[in-house]
Amino acid sequence: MTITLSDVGSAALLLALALALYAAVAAFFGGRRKIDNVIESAKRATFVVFGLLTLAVAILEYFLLTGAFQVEYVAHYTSSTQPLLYNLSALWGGQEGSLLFWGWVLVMFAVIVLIQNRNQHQELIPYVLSVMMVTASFFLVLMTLVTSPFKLLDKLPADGSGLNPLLQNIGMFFHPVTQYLGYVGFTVPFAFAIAALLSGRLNDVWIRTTRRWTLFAWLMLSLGILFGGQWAYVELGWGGYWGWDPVENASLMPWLTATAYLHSVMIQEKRGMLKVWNLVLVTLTFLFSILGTFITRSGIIQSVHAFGVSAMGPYFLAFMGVTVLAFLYLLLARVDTLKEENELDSLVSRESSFLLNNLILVGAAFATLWGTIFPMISEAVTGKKITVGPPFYNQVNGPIFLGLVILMGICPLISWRRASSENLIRNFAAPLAVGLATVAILFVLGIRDASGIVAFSISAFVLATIVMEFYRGMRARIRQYHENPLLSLFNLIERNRRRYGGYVVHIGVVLMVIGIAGSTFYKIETQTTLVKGQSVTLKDYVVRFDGLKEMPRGNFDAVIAQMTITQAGQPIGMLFPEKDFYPGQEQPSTEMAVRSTLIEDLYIILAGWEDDGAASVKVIVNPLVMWLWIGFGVLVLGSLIALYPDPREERALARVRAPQTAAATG
Amino acid sequence: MRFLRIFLAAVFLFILTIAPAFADAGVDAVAQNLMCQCGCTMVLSTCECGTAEQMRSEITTLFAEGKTQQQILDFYVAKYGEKVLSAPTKQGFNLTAYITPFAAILIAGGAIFLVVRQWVIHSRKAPPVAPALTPEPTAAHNAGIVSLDALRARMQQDLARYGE
Repeated sequence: MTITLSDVGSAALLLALALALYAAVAAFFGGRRKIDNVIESAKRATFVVFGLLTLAVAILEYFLLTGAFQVEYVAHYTSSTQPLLYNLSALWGGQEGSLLFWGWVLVMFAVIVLIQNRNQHQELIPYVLSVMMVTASFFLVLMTLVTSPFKLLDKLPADGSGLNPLLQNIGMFFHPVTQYLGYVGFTVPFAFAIAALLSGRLNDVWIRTTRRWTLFAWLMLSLGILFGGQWAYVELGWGGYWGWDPVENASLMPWLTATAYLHSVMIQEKRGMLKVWNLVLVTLTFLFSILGTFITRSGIIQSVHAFGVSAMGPYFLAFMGVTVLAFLYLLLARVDTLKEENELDSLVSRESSFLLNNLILVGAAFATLWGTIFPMISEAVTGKKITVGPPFYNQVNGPIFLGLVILMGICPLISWRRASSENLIRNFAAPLAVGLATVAILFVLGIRDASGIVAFSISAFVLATIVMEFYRGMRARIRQYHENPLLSLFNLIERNRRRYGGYVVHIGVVLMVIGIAGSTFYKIETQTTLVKGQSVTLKDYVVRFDGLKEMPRGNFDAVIAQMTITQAGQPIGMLFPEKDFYPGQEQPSTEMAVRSTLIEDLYIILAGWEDDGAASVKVIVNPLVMWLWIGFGVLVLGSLIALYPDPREERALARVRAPQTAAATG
Repeated sequence: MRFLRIFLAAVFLFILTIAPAFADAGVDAVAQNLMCQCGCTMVLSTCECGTAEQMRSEITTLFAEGKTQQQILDFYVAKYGEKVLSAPTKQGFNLTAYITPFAAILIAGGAIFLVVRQWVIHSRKAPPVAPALTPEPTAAHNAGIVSLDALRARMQQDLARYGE
């Protein structure tokens, strides 16, 4: 039964590859020669590919849930004692399953794009489909020729190895899914960009059509980064959420370029400028997404997150190389039709501030890429192996990000086209006063650390600029319509979701900056060995060790330390850090215990123990971490506001389409 | 202004609330500058494995012997090579690791400045053009308030643009 089903799975992938290649070629030539039947055939082939990949996913999930250990993938990533949830999520826990998941989601998106556009953009859709199916074919080639999820073992093992214990965490259920949805989602705007180049329809239709796709992918990638950070915080046991690891960097790079793109498209929509730049940004974002998958799955760069090592490197490099060459060829071929419709009227304007924002965002992406690949460059040049870790990124990316946060406050308040000095004074006087007041208050409170003062005062400045924007809009509505403040706030956001959703995202980022600054600059920790009944004091916390206990827990055994906590003399509860021992794993995994408040986290790690029952514990006080998670929540809320369909956007898109349609029919 | 006063007061209260969280950071400076050598790719100060424990106690011993922070780092570089350091040294070719990102931003920024300045000079020399399709948004516009005059002006612009 197992062998038959695995054959069906392999055959489904092979057939899907053949049909995906057919769809890619047919859609391209159908679009080129304007042969409707061929285009229709490509569309139907896409639906069939989706059906075949759904079948393959269903078969693999069936294997994972029923413990079909003869399948190599199942034997590697599940076990008979592993909880059902993690057997289910093993689909994206390993390399082969991740590739299948990537390909399946990509073709699902292609189907959604076809359904969304069944009556529109017919001049673009064949090329969009072709690009998406070429990408799907690439992943199907990997699944069929390099590393099949349905490969069988010669000998049936008694049990599976199970997922890496680090991955047996609820955060790992959501993190890879959202991360991949983000990575895959960027294929849609990229496909539309290439379609615009291929078809020569280079007005902003492709940008407006894919705005929500881009925002969706950006939101998913943001969530992926959030879940990854939370997983690292509770699972890796070092008291941090971001370690500048190559895999983490790989997720940050497309996020940064996509953020730049989300801002620069506004200039193309408003002023018909930056057409080439937007095409470059969307392509860079797509390439970084592929690079992210490559770094995570290839093991080419040493990483705490690289859970698989394989020989896929040359395939990924070839795919990315071909993509770059094809893009450059198309860009050069169309350069005459990509002329700017306007020029900047002033050095100080919203447009130029957005250019600066783009420069910093892309600069941050470059600095991250540079740090990630520098060990390889250095080894090639000097022959010495070196490490590029957090201290490097703190010194290089830290100032770049600080500049970015300042720009986040400045950009939205500068007028389009030309900012007058009155405009600048009117918009910046109060926020600057708030920023300076924050410096003074922090100084009076005895805080002398320059990094903290700079980070918090800039956060206050940016927050003030955003609050002022809301205040002005609400005041205008209250005066005009006599609405109460709450209703005016609701209507303000509802009437301009994109703009105010963006501001809410900015508020979220500022809150995250506050959380990051607090936990980076003011974290304190101590490590000590305690015998039963002994205490350790950190800040105003007293942590008493009340002994160890062993406990079997499903598929692992836990050694748990019981810690009683008092703060400023008041008992505030108990915490239970533990070490978990999974069968077949050499090292136990760490489960830290945390008590979170808005002010700070008390974070305890059980580092080890002696035969006499003494425990080695690490205690960390991590200030303001909660604001990082709250900030992420606000960022998601803002993205959802901006993502929600806006009738005004639809009308704007219809206005752009109108002349095009007239030209096509006339 | 009343609103701003309330906002300032809120900022002040917020800072007062979070101020108790601040304390001098106590850092294990040496461990932050070294990588754990068990193959986990984690900074020594953050790793909890046996190798990390061993390296940290070795650092304590070296400190007790009177070694300085730099001498301890040199000891580990001699033992494991430069890869034991958590960041490249700021010497020789490694210096390019630190300089390149800022140099790239400055060069790109300079290029953007020149292009924008050229645009500005060109647009000032050019004859006045019709107002942009989308006029500069005012607070009222952003708030969803559109006057009849504004609508009329926009219609004229659209008619002019699309050739009636």
